[in-house]
Parts: sequence; C-alpha cells; structure tokens
Amino acid sequence: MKNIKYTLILLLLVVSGNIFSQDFPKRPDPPRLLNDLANLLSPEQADALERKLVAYNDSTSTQIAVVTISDIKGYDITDFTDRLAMDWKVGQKGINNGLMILIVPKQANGERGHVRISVGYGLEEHITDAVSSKIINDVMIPEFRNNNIYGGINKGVDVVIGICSGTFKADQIKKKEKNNSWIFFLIPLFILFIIGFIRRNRYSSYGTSSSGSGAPFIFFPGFGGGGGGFGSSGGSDFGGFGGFGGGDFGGGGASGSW
Amino acid sequence: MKKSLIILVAVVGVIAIFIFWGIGKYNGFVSQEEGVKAQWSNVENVYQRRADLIPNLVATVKGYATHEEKTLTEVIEARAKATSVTIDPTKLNASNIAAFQKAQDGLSGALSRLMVSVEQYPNLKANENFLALQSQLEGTENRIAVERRKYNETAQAFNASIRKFPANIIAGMGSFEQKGYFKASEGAEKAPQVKF
Repeated sequence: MKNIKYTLILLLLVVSGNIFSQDFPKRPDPPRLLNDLANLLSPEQADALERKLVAYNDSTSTQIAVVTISDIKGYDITDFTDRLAMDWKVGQKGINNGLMILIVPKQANGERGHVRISVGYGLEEHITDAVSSKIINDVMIPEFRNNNIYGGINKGVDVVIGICSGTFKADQIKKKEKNNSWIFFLIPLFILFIIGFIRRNRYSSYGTSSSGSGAPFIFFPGFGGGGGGFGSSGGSDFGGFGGFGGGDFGGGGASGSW
Repeated sequence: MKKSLIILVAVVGVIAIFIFWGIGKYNGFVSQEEGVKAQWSNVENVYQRRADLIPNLVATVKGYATHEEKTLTEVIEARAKATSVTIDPTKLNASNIAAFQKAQDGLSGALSRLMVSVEQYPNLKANENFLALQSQLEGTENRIAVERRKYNETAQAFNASIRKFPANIIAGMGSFEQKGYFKASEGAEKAPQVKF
C-alpha cells in the first residue's frame, strides 16, 4: 500500500516534470530581455524597449525581463510567472536582482487580460508587493484598458527603473567575478607547475624521473583550457544582452487583470 | 611472506578507498542537509511575515467592519496557535511538519474567511491602507507557496540521496533521517487565485 503511494507520487513528479517543459517557453537563445511571444508590439517598439532594458542591465546588472504570451495553459498568472522567472534565472546569481513583467493580453473570446510583476529576492525591499500592485493598477492597467500595450509596459518599466536606480552597480559585480576566477585558477596552477618543474630537475639527474616529469605535462593542458573559458565569458558582455545570470525568486510581486 | 604482504596492501587499499568514498558521501549529506535546513528557515520566515501582517490587518478591519468580531477573534486565535508551533530544524520529520502545517493551515482558513467577509464593506475596500495590506497578504501567501515548493524539492533530493544504495549505508551510520514534506491541501499547490 505504502509502495503504491510512493510510486504514484514518483509518477506524478515525472509527469509534472514533462508538463513543465512543454508548458513554459524555453529561455531565449540568443538571450533577450524583451520576449514578445504574443506579438503585441511593433518592431520599432520592441527594439526601443529591448534597448532600454539592455542599457539598464549594462549599467546596473539589474535584469528586467518583459514577456508577453497569449496562452499560459491554465496556470494562474502568478504561479506561471514565478516559475518562468525561476526557470530562466533572471537576475544575477547571489544577489538575485531580477524582475519579470509578464502580460497575457485580452483574448478574442472576451477573457480578461492579466499582468504580473515577479520580483527577485534582491529587489524585494525596493519593489515591495504593495509597490508592485500600485505599478500594475495605477500605471500599467489604465494604459492597457486604452489598448496601449506598449505605453503600459514602457511606463511600468520606467517606474521600476526609477525605484531601483542606485541599488546595484554593474562594474562592482563584474570586477568581483573576474578577480575571483583569475586568482583562484592561476595561483594554484602556477604553484603546481613550479613544484613539478623543480621535482623534474631534481630527480632527472638520478635517472628516476617517471613520477616527477609527468607533472608539468599533466598540468599544462588544464592551464590552456582554463584560459579559453575566460575568453568566451568575457566576450558575451559586448553588443546586446549577455544572458540571464542565475537569479532566484521567492514569490514576491503582485498581479492584476483588466 | 611476500604474497601475504600484497594481500594486506590490497585489503588496506580497498578499505582506504571505501573510507574516502564514505567521507565524501558523508560530507555531501551534511551540506545537503544544511541546504534543507536553510530552506526550512526560508519557509519559517515567510510564515512569520504573514503573522507579522495580521495585527495591522485586524486593526484596520476593526475600524470599518463592525459586525465581524467573531471572524476577527478567530484570526487572532489562529495566529497565536500558528506562531506557537515551531520545529527544531534538526527534527524536520514527517509528523513535525504535519503538525506545523496543520497550525498554519488553520490560520490560512481563518484569514480567507476574514477576506471573504470584508467583501461587504465598500468603505474598507476603498481604504488605501487596507488595499496595501491586502496586496501584501496576497504576496505573502504566494511566497509561502513558493518557499514550500522549494522546501519540498530540496527535501526530496536529500531523501532520495540518503536512500540510494550503497550511500544509504553511510547515511545509516551517520544517522541521517528522512525529511518530511508539505502536503498539498485543498489545491494549495497552485497559489490562490486573486480576484478583484
């Protein structure tokens, strides 16, 4: 009896895992902050909004992802947005300064439109639930009611940026990352290389060099591989949005309908 | 003489490998268990956050909803009950979690009855302070759903790894115990839908 229960739970987990991957849009590749999956914006509007969001990410590292989608597969908008934001990992790892605005437009059959702001852990003290609710009900929804989707999103983003400004600085975070990785990779490798080199020289004169001579050659390829990795991650910072950074969400934010 | 030495070395070698493997596993369990405890404290924090909202909410509602004495008293009592049940994070077993959840669900029930009954007070619903409290309460209920889900996920990963063979031998020696889960109660797996 107990076994059956466990099997059922396991089955449920497996099935729900599969459902998850089908119901939720994949993380955009190449990465974008604006994902107009419901085609609510003109190309010019989308371009302007994307540029604004990327510029804000570049200067503060705070990631504001905007998603429009016409079908959320029967999920509650709050649940759907939180899960999507966690799945895409909006915001920087460790400081969790990500935010997702998701808009489900009014449907042809007269179903109401929905909007949700999901706030990452790191932004919760600035964009509180009450603030999110005010942005939605006082800034965004009045525009949406006039069928001005772009205006609503744009104004909402402006308010969020205004509240968050001065909270995080981008150069701070990037410097920290680079310092860490370089030092932690280089110093031990350098020491190992020196040790191997010394040992090789010392033992080779006695003719029993087998263990000593291996060391420098084992560590050389590792060294090269490490260097390659930095190049690619550094390059992604230039030209457009570099990708979501691993931020986490705890359910903060608010939702509204029109 | 030489043969027995080789055997001895081999046996010692195998034991050493087992010990190192065991140490690695044990330390893995320790950090995984710490992860479960950390997530548990996130769960407690969001419940505490809800409890902290209630005095303010009750005070605001009292000023407008004059005929809701009974509902308000229920909320206050349920809050007292809920905050009195806490779990030692080293004993996150199924029965402790169930008791914790029962107390908190009692408060959820009392709160939702309160929110339904205030529907008939238009002045209260127009009050800025009440609207802010309402959005905070909704946000907190959503946070509770999210943190509970995250707790269940980390606890499930921990339980799976301490039960797998042969790592379960190490888990038994270190007396690691299975963690309890939150059960979905009356459709609580999805966050409650907010309607205006």
